[in-house]
Amino acid sequence: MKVHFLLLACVVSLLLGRAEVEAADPFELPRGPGRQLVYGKCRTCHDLQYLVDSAGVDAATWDGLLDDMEGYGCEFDATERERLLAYLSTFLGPTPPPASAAGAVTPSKADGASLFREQCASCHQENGRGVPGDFPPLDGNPDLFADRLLPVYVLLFGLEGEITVNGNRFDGVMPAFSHLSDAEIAALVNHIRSNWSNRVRFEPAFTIRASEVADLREPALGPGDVQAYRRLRLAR
Amino acid sequence: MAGSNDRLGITRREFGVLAGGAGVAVGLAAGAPHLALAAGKANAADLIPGKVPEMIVHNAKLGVMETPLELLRQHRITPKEIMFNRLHFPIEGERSWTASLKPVERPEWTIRIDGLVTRVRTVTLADLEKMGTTEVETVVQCAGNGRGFFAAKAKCPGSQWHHGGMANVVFEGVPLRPLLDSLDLGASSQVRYLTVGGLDDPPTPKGADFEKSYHIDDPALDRAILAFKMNGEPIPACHGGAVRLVVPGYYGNMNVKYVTRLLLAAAPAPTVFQARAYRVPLHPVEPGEMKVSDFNLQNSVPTYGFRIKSVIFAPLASDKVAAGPVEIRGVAWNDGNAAVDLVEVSTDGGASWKAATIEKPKSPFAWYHWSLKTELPAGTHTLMARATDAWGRSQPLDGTAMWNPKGYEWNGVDRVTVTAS
Repeated sequence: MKVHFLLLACVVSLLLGRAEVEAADPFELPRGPGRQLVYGKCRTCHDLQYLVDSAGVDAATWDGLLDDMEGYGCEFDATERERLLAYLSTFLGPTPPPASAAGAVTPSKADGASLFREQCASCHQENGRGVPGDFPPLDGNPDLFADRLLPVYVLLFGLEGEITVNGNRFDGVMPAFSHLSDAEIAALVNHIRSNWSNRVRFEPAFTIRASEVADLREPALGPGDVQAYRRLRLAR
Repeated sequence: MAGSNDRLGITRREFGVLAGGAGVAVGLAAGAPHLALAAGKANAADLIPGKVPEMIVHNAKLGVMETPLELLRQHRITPKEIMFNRLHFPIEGERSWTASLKPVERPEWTIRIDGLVTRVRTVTLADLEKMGTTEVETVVQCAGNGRGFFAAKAKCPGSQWHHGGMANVVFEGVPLRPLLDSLDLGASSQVRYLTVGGLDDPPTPKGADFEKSYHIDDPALDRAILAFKMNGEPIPACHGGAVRLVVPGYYGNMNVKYVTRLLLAAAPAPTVFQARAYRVPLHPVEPGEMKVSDFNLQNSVPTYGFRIKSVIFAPLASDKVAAGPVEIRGVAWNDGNAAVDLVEVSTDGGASWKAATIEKPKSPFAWYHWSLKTELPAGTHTLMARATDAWGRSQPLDGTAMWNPKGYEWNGVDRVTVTAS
């Protein structure tokens, strides 16, 4: 136990300290149905400031923008498009409802596979193989099995800085997905760990429960903290 | 309550205390630019080291930032530290090399000239550096500069630039047409377009490469250069080094960055960046008439030459103005095809105008500096400036008259409200 404290203390002292206060996406979009789809689809190629800066334009403009985004490579099916347009034209439209009137958002079914398509596939790709140099693979990624809680931290708080996966270097920024519920994050992690070739390595002991996700939300960490944790746990 | 981790026996709370709970970020020192992307308040200096923190960030992930006019007005030649920046793809991952003011360290930089030619040629940076070069002082301006002002009629989506999406710099490079001639390509008579592209490619497999196409006979290509120096140094990575096509007088997107391929073709490039983006309707349209996705080759033109424009540099709303004699000054420019020979200034909201003194630059593509000495009594005044060139082209009193769905090419008469006391 003492050795590990020392190890962590060394890691802390070696690296530059800088106060991080935000763990969630720096742009907090108004709460409403479809919001999470926007977080899932609209942060791959740019950050949400484009959306925030465009707030107030009408439904026809958002509709044209969705067409535009498809031209740039954003992928969504007809249902997703409808949901995106509904959210954008309402909550980022000319007359957004006041926050109190947003009402309860019915949580999605917490189905790992559909959540993956909605939230993760735009970067990590449907086949889980990522994009060399840009987005790490999830299929066959040893990170998923080296530490039980690491994927939960990554989803809650993001991950930034250089990492190596199967000998390949990545130096990007994964945003936080803290907008997802505990059940959704658990379902996603369990899905990713048991999908593609990962199913060969999956064991019941790796199953994450929603309550465990809830447990990890506070205190909020930053993506740099998650990187440090990863380094520590993977001893890389 | 805190759970515990299986393997190494550190509880989650212990980690939290050491790593984050104490407020000390265990961040990656070398990755400081990345920290800014996720940290909350994006700081320009963290995104692109060397950029001043006062830059106004429009999109951290893409390194898009605007220069406050209070800074821009301090230099006749805009230093790279304060020059606006606009990239189309994330400045992370495979493209993190673009988030830098340093030169691009790729000594084997090679440009391939291909297409409907008899002989494909390659030219390296080393080749270019040995050739005769031209220097050109030119305004660089984002097509979206001023987009925020269109909101007076109807907001246009995207970054709400004010005036700081522009700079005045000196590029040095090899003139394009003589280079192409010297390469003896044996181009087909079917060639109608030159398409220029390079390392500006998207991170996603289904994304579109950044390329721009020019009519092969476009007179603007007569003054285009393949630039490898800006302000006397190798072009910084974020500004398009090692080689950038510079077409003086054209909006910024047409100065293609990271040039590695020139394609002589019969048609323009199909990429959205040419076929749909950075295009203006053939005539101004009313909001709702046309969607941002409705642009095509028939109903629009690319953002070619700068619309004539003038910007007040002083006094700005942030300046303290003493009642009495005051010097109003600023800059003006156009596409370089005719001299800007009149800048009129009003201090009474347009009721009366006086001609300012103009300092004509050596380069027709650079900023003209203008100034007017006048009197401002105590009170609030709306200052306006309006430029006209030798061809009679001028600025609309109400810039929203040129409204277009993407909010490009703003050139309305500038208005600054100041209080003299």
